Amino acid sequence: MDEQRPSDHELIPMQELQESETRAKKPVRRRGKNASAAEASVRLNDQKTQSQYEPYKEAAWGFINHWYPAVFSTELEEDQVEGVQICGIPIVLRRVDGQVYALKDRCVHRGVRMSAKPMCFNKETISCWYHGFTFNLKTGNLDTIVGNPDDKLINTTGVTTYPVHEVCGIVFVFVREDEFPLEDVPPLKHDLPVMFPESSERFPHPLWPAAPHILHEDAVGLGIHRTGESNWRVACENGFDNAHILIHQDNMIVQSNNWVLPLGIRPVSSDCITTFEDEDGPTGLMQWLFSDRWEPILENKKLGISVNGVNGRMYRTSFYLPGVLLVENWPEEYIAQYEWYVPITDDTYEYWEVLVKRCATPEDIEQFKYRYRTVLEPMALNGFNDCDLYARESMQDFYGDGSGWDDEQLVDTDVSPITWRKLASRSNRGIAKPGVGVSGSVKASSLRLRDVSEGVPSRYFVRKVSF
Amino acid sequence: MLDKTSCHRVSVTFSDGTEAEFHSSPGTPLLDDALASGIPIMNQCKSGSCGTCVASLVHGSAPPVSDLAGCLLDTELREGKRLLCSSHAESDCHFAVDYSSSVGAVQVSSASVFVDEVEWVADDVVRLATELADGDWMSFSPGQYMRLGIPDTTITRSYSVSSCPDALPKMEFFIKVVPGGLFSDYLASRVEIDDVLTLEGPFGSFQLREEHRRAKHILVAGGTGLAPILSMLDTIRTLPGVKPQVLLSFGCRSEKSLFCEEILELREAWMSNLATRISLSQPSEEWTGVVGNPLSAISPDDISEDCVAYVCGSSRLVAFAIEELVAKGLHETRIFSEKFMAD
Repeated sequence: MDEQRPSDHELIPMQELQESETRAKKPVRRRGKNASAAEASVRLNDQKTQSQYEPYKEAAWGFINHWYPAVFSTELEEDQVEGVQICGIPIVLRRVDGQVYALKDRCVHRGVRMSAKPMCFNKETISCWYHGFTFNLKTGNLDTIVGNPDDKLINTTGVTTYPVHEVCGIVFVFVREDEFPLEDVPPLKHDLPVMFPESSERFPHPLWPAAPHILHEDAVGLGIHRTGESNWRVACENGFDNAHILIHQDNMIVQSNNWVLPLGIRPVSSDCITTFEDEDGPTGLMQWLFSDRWEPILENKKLGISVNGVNGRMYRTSFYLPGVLLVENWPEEYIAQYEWYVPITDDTYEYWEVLVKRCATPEDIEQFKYRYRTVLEPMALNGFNDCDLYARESMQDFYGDGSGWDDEQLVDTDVSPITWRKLASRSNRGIAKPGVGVSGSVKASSLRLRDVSEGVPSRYFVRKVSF
Repeated sequence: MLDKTSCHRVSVTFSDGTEAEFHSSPGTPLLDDALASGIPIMNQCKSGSCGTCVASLVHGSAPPVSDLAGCLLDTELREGKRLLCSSHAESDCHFAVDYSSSVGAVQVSSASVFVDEVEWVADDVVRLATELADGDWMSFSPGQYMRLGIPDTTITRSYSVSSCPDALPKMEFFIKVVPGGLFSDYLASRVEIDDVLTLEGPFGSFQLREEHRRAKHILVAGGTGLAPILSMLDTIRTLPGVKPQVLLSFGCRSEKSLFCEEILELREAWMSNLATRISLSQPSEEWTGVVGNPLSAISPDDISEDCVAYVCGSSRLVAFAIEELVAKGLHETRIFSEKFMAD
């Protein structure tokens, strides 16, 4: 007696028997590129640890259903249209009467990116420049077709819309799956770092002032974003990996300020990292740097090297879903550095570096801008962080084909990325599906090859056509 | 007088509000006429035993055919439940079914699968991993089951899919191996990697209900009843939108028959909205967990009237679970179940 479900008598209608005979004539073949399950399960690393962050390993195209920065406010002037791609989803942005609207940048008709040649006939819609399919900015509905206004398709279809929140000079977009209900969209603060001084008791910072936050009304954000050629996960793990600061030893900002930048920072306590999944706030991890839970390494006797700096440079990193870094007290007092590693494809990401400072008066703003232009952008965001960009690219070949996740040999300082991987596996709002029918889904597309032959680097913004 | 000889108009309301109408002809089971009119009534055995085509008679007269035993209880009949495969209309009738019109519309199809892996995960449970053959496809909703053909025979057995539709073309099953069972015997002695099995499906109305997606989910599984529950759980994990709270209570007989512990542990690590509980009915002395059936591991505090429950296991467990859940405050209409039995 087999135990099966539900009560299923062995009735085999004649018709089924005949069908199965017909089937038997058709050769039954294995699917192409057959990965026998046994082969797929061969791994070198501790499989148990790895399986705890399996969902993270699947997230090559990013975590979807999260807020991401799309453009700086200054990059989208009134009536301007720009196209970007986030988590493999093409997105077109248009600003009308100050308000930014975001729609899926792929015409339902033939898949053309509307942002490539902006065509807008009024303040309510955007039209595809190819055949004139016209979409409502607020609802995404196909409102009309320029040269076919009575077609039956009108009002029956449309493109996905994406909620927008513009603050601190950044346009944030909630990048969602088509089916993600709009009423479930969380506020932006759920995808931003914790706020200080509200969190100062929870995460004390006796050595530096409360970090400014993007949502503070007097916060001013100045920064840059650029495209990196590596997977977004490799990029974000670099930001809060406490052993990576070795790459910054020779940086101009470190040497010119005689900063004490340790060779590395080791965890020496089991509570060196606190993770949290806040009810009405972010999910993230706090690293208790510059406390007795971490030990700075200032010399390596075997190699005969030591750190020469004399000026302490205290900072602390915390990291949040969907991949947001907060560096408190960096690169100067009263300033915090924010970073995002926004997935574009599975091998490109948009690297955002934003310095945030609270400025009470217009003079404060001017001073911050001057300092930013003359010192902080060239020495910190470029100089210093350029090294990080190179470091991430140098890991791309190892991780790009997936083998790195199995073959990496991690050490105790990697508690930070491992903690992040587990947390992200648990608390992400969705794993982006591999891009289909979008830029980057075909790696050596003719368009990309043309760009390469013309010496055009990977681009975040859609290349506009003009004719 | 009710007219037993002429045609009657029969209407069916689906849970999504869709209404369909057909004419029933004398002497023909309602199901046959409904299907002939293209109305998506879920069904399987067409012989009154599986209960898949159950509908609630809202008004009219449609008595069950006496020569078909039928698996409905007398109380269910009195409440107006009818199996459409074994009922005839004696007047114009109106029925309601508790699934949406799109659920029943899925066509049954067949396919071949290759055996990828046969893993004994407990003393009497096998995890069967398969992959659809080149050119074949199968679709299903989490919770549904397939009929698997035993190679070189015309005999089939029904097993729920434990993997997610997302994992297609891979499909997995947890199969209880029972002495003397034909499929059991095949698994225990003859199966080889790369064997080809025929597959027919999907079947069953045991599926996640869209209208309850936001409710706290109580998932109750006994033994290999975990299979469809696992498929549901992994689907909930990847649902777009705010995810519901989930309590999964899984029961087995003893340590020797317990399986999937690691998989459940991982799900708990991956899902901040999930709590799992494991119980054994006849554990060894070393067992420190819950002793009893999966319902023993659920307290009244876990349940409120706005929960939704999905139960799969032996018919005894399912009957007991429904009784217990109702006693703990959950309305019957919010409990969905699937029972399996020896056959």
